[in-house]
Amino acid sequence: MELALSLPEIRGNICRFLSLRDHKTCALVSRVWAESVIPWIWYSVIHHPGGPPEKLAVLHKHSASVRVLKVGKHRTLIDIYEWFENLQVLHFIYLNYQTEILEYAADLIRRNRFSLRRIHFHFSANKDSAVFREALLCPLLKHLSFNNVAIQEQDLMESFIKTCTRLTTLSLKNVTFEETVHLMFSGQAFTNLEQVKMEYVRGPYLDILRACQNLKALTIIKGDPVSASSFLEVITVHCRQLCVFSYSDCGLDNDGDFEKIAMALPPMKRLQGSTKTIRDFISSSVYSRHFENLQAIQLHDFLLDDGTNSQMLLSSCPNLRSCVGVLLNAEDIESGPPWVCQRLEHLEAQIMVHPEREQLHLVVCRQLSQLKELRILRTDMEWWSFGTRSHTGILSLRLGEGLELLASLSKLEYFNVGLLREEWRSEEVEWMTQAWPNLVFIYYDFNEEDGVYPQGCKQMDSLGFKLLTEAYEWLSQTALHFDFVTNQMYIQKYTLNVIVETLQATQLQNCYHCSNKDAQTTFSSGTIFPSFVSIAFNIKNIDPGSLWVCQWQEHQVHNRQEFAIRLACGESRLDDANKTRY
Amino acid sequence: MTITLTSLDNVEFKVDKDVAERSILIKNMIDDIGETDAPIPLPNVSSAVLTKVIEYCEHHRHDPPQVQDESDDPRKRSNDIEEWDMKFMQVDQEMLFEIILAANYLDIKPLLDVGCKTVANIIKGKTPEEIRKVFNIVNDFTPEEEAQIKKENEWAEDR
Repeated sequence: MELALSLPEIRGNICRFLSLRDHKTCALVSRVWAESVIPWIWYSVIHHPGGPPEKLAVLHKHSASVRVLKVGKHRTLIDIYEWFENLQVLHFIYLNYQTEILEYAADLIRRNRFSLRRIHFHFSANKDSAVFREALLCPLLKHLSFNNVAIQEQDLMESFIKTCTRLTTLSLKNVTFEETVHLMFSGQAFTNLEQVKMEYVRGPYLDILRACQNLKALTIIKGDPVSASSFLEVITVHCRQLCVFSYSDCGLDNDGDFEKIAMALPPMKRLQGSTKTIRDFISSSVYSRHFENLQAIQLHDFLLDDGTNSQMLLSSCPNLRSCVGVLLNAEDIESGPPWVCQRLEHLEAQIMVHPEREQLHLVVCRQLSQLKELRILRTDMEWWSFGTRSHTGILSLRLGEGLELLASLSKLEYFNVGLLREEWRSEEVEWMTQAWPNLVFIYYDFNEEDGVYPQGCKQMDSLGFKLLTEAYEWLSQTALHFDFVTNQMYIQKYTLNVIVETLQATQLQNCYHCSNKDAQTTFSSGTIFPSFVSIAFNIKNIDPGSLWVCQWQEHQVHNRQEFAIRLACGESRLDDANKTRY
Repeated sequence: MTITLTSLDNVEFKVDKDVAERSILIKNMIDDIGETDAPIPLPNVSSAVLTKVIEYCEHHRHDPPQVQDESDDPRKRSNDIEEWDMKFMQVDQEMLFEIILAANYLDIKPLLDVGCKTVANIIKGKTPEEIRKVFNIVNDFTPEEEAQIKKENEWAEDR
């Protein structure tokens, strides 16, 4: 063996860059390799109930190596809570606990009080603050995510701010601050707290923000309504570093109020909110002080006949990297100033072209072709019209009608065209494979008439493009990353690579709904399944380093041939409850 | 200011101070000894390898100092090697490991990481036998040991 590889520190450093699958392989290479790599194999563990007794015995044997522990269903806690003493990350995936089990959860946290950096409670049905209390006593805590708790004790909050001085992100969902608690921390501050997310929080939660002078990102979703004036007071006095703001249904939408807010907010890098209020943001010069810095904007509650000249946004924001949920009218593009967002990487828009102005397809494509950094493109947000869709008003995307102008989008990885106006022919398909070498996902949908499956689509399938309906939601939710160290917002190419890297090559022809565990073996065998429903699989259990190619044969379930794949991956898993069905 | 480094085979290399200080070992030496014209001997590093190391340090001389990695997870990806580094690492396996050893000795963490990532990329996706072949490693397991490890590893799931 090479001298370098005989040094344990070198082997250890190499292991840092390998995945679990490769760790397992390295463990079988030789004795010293096993010694180096086995701690890495047990670095991160997810523990579900079930399995033979040896499974628990093995976990116990290696428990000293575990730093990241994800605990599944509640019963497992009793078996294992005493084994771990150096945990850094703790996820309670299922906290459907009874009170006596909660004690074990609290105990587990207590045993790891001085090493825990991240605690996530993903789901909780029990309103009990005992476990919460333990979490707040962890001095190294950087990330805390908590659901379903009612906080009654004042001293709890006071020791929280005193103890958790390193806290960087805080996420509260369905939390109530009772009347006995006031959140004015006089003289104390969460100096490192940069990201706060409050979802369905009740009580004077804005007061927490008074202690967050370094707050950079804030999300408020529902919960007790926030008045614009108190929000303004808190942000302009205390949170002057704020640059990412996302809100929904929290009372800030009252007419006229948001204008005051937008005028007072520090220049935003990322903004996410309802179209209703942000449409003024787009069209009024009052908001132009934000345009220079804006890197990402996302609108909910899309309104088709909105009338807003959203294309103004693209003509005003030179640093825009991501723009989601805008309505772009071809006529506005034609008559308006050219887009300045040359760095745009992610665009999801509804592009409307008046059916009687065919030449506008070229105008739109010409403008789109300027976006040479584009990686994610969606031209039809079909969710606004459920049921009857017509082909009128949709971008053509055929050769000779504008598609060829998009050859400049050489970095395109993801293309969602929604409803196809006219079927693609083989020329279109060949062109796309030539022009877009990085294309990984393509989604298209079409109204099938007379039971004929368009030729172009058949060819698309045979080329092995993945068809996704819902993965884009996952992509658009996780594709953006704001790095507070470098102050850069960027699209994480990594997330797309994860999908490419972690999928397994196979041919799926009509699939059954199958469980996660089945996915690995089932889909790697190239089996053909007799009838189509839908497929949901968890790609977490699929070996990285291999490529999925999903094709599907014609099999009619509905008139619209739609193929639904729900991809769940790692932390970004979309629970059914959280998933937005547009 | 110029620092003189002497390799294992007694070749002298004159480098700018800021380039030399990409090596924490050398930086600490300079801090301790103070500024001197005396050459710093590096008896563990041959001239061929030192040439490569200096090339790396010169290219990266303006990189910001490495932030103490306080993130929760020391595990990292290996598919984010920048283009220049990738070309730089296109050397034969012997030189690759020499560079890793030198970076380890000289305490140049970014170079060490790039080297280890490169090795990790070689390992990725291979079977144990293939890995042994590439790196000339002897299988010293008994069949029972091997079976035991395999069995235990089956219970390790991380997601």
